[in-house]
Amino acid sequence: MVFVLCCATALGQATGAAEWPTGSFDQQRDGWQRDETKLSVDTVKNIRLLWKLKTDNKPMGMQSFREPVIVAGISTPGGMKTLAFFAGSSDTVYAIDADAGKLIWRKDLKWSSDKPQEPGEGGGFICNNALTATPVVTPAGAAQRFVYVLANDGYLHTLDPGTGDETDPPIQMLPGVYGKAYGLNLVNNVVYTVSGQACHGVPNELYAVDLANKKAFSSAPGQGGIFGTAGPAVGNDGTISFETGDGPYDIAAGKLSTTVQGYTSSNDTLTLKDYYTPTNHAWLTKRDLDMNTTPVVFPYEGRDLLVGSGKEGRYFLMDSKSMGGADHRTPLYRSPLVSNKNVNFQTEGSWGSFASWQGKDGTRWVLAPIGGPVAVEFPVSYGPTPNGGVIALKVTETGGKTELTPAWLSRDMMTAEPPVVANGVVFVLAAGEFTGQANDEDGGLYSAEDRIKHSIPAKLYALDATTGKELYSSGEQIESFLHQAGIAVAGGRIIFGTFDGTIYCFGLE
Amino acid sequence: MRWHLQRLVLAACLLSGLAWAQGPPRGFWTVPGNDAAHTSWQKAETEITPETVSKDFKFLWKIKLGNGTAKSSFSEPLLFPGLITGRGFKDLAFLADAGTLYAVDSELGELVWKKDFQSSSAPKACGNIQLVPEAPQVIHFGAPRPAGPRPAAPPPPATPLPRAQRRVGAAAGGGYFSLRGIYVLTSDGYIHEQIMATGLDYAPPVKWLPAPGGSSFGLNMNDKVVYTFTGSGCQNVPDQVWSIDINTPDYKVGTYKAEKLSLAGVTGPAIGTDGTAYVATASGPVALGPDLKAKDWYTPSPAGKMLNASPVMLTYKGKELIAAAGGDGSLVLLDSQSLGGADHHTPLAQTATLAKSARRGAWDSLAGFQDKAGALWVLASISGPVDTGVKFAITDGPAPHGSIVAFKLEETDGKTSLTPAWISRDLVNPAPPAIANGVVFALEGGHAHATLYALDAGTGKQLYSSGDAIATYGRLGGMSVGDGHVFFTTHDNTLYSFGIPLEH
Repeated sequence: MVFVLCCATALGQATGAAEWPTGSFDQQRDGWQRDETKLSVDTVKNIRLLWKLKTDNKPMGMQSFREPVIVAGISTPGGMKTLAFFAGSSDTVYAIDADAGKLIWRKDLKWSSDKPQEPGEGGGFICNNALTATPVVTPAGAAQRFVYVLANDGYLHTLDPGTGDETDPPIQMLPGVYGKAYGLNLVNNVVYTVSGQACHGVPNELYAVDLANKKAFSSAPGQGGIFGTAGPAVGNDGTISFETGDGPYDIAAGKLSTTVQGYTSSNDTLTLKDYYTPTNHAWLTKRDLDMNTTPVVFPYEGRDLLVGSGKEGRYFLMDSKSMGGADHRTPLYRSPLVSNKNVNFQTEGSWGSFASWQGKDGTRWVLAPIGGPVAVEFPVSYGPTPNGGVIALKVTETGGKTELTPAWLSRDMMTAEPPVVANGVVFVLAAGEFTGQANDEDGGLYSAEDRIKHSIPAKLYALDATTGKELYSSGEQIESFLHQAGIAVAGGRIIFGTFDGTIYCFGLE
Repeated sequence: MRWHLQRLVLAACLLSGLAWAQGPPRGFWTVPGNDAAHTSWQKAETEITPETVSKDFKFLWKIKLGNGTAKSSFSEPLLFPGLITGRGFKDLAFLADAGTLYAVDSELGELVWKKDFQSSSAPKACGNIQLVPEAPQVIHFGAPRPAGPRPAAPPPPATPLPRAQRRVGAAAGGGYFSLRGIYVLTSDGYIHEQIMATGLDYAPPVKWLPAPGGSSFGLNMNDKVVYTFTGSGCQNVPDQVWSIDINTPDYKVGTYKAEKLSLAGVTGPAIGTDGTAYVATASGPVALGPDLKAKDWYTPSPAGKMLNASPVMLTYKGKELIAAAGGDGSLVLLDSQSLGGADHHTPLAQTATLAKSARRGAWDSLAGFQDKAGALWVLASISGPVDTGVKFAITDGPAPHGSIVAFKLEETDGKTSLTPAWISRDLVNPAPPAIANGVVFALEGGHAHATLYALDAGTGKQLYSSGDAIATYGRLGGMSVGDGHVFFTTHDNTLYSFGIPLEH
């Protein structure tokens, strides 16, 4: 017994092995796996399906899994392992041996709220009563490591990564149940998330839990929907950034719809530090072109820069020290329309989150998913992209101005998920998801069932990070689609889950 | 009336989150003259003011439609903003020529779709296709949530009507995101329903008018009873008022025909708040009940030459008033409860003769609005010179070709009068005036080219002129105003947009 307890305690062991401890890899949400050594431009042609595992996850609406997190050096009853953690849509957490593809443990999170659970899958494809926040793991090097999962009851659960046991009582993080939260971010012992769509009346706010004193706090008042899938990004200077969607715009009241907002966190208080509102805010609101992505933050010449976007299809480059300049309307750079000439709120802009990496020559790259044809010329491209793909932009200096310059456009992909970068290779899932909302043929909105029926199996692609050239495609090996379920890359493995509850691991032998 | 439901907004939930109901209204213009009453008054306007129109108003875009060989200009553009479609939210302008219906993105000036109804076997049409969209619903994304407890989530949307059960006029189902229809009367006498988002047929068309090829004037709708009238001697189709009830599958058709009657105006019947239809005849305005039987009328005495204008319904101090053409080229104001008093000859108020010598084929129009102080104004576009016997308080030089005239309703000692307030500058072939937030828009059809003017609604003072920005002249096409923009067409089948620009 003593032996088991000892092994089950997840001691912080800095193994040096590659991990993916949080959504989009790090607190800046750059999706750049810096520790990859096996996967490379030369080796990815040898990628194959290493394993797949069918789970008993029950999808809710279109949602099954979000992005997994991968942690190395976890003591389990079966020995030291690298584990991939998946938070399933129905409040079940799965820990899977990343090498063997075996389930190590599964944990049904107990309902903690005094509000009742609802049967069914919510209403429509938006408020679907699904767990939607990517979990987060205590950073490597900590004395102890835990997996934090925000469940449908609005409570933050703390799990032992080796056993799935809850090590602390759950902490109420959201004010209500079934709030639709996004990727958890853990910085300086505080867990952050955002919520969108005001599901079940949970206000769209930045939410936080101080793990030291278990105190929950938020950024009231509620905003337009905050639904960048990677949640808030946290810069090197501590600024917590997110984008808001349509809603009231009242500066005096602190309601800043369709805006990039930056907050500081101190003494369990969140304070609006700065914001950037596009000058065409009225147009964006009129046509439902929300800003809806998680900004990416990266260092650039001694300062933090951010890139944001949204359904409109433009990209904004901002200095964290002054996001929108003195008038909050002037970013460092505002791109022309890169995609979405059709002004379509449903698909054709940019959704989810981004990636950013720096080449050996010092070039800073920004990658983004797009949902349709492009509106500008790319120097390198691989044919039309009627269904979307990935774009690569370079941060450049022109006449003393810092800009984003188109570099390459990927091949066509059916609903590209946010890309990730590892050792010169871009990995991206063509999710296969049908993202239409308004049904022009039969009327009404497409239901989740309709959208599932119209979706096609996902495909994994590996692209050359400097040219976008396709290096690998999974072809027909994936059997189902996925909805906003990102990929995690670590130790030569690419891991993700699909709608049908199957978890896939591609990689090198 | 259904048209008054057009500000209905909703608490809807798209990916962007909740959209609350109490947002500013959008600039719908869903029948000729904007509303069933044909006031040509855009009550929802907020961007256009006398101040902004003076400094920010400009040409925005134009788009050429059709093959350029049409003999008549397009119909007055109808505006339907905020329509949800499979390609995003669209602000649509609908307009038609004799055989084709066009839907244009009214912000971007891009053709969204077109539907060709022309049939090689059909007799040549005298006039344009006539349009009327169904009542709108609005999703407003920038609206604050109303005070008080958070409302419950909206109920799941109703199931869309199966395709096999569709028929013209049948509700499409699907809740706030249901298919929306635009009703179209084509020259073959059929009424069609097109899906607004795509232009596709919603259901097979229904025969309405017995004789094909006639010229119909304006569609209007009240509680899914659609009205129009035919005439102008085209294809020997008689001057006649028509209705069709599309609520029910038997599509009951009503008709009104009076001996020796010629119908006037081009916007079709106006409809009062109680559903009464009003038409202008050569003998004066007639009120028609739901069965299209004449239930009241006003006959000027002496009749003399009458302006060729459709009546306009105006609500004032709880009463519904009718501005209409009176005898001998005058305007009259009538009480809808008793059009001409007991003798059918006595109006509430009457102006002096405006256009004693109006030429044959001249085209006049009426409009009306209430200013911020609550005063009621009646406007008219007059083709030809205004009789010198009318003394306007404010003038803007001689107006030998035509003008916009403004009358203010005044009540003194229990007597109602229409006081001549101002007359515009000279306008060659003036289109029906349109009013928005203290500004009157006047479109001069012109000889060489059309010119758009913005006038102060209280004084007629010119606030803006498009100069020579419009390439050619306009004819038989009215204006519509919505969301800070003004729309009209010219003779070369070009749709123009002027307005306060919105950064895209």
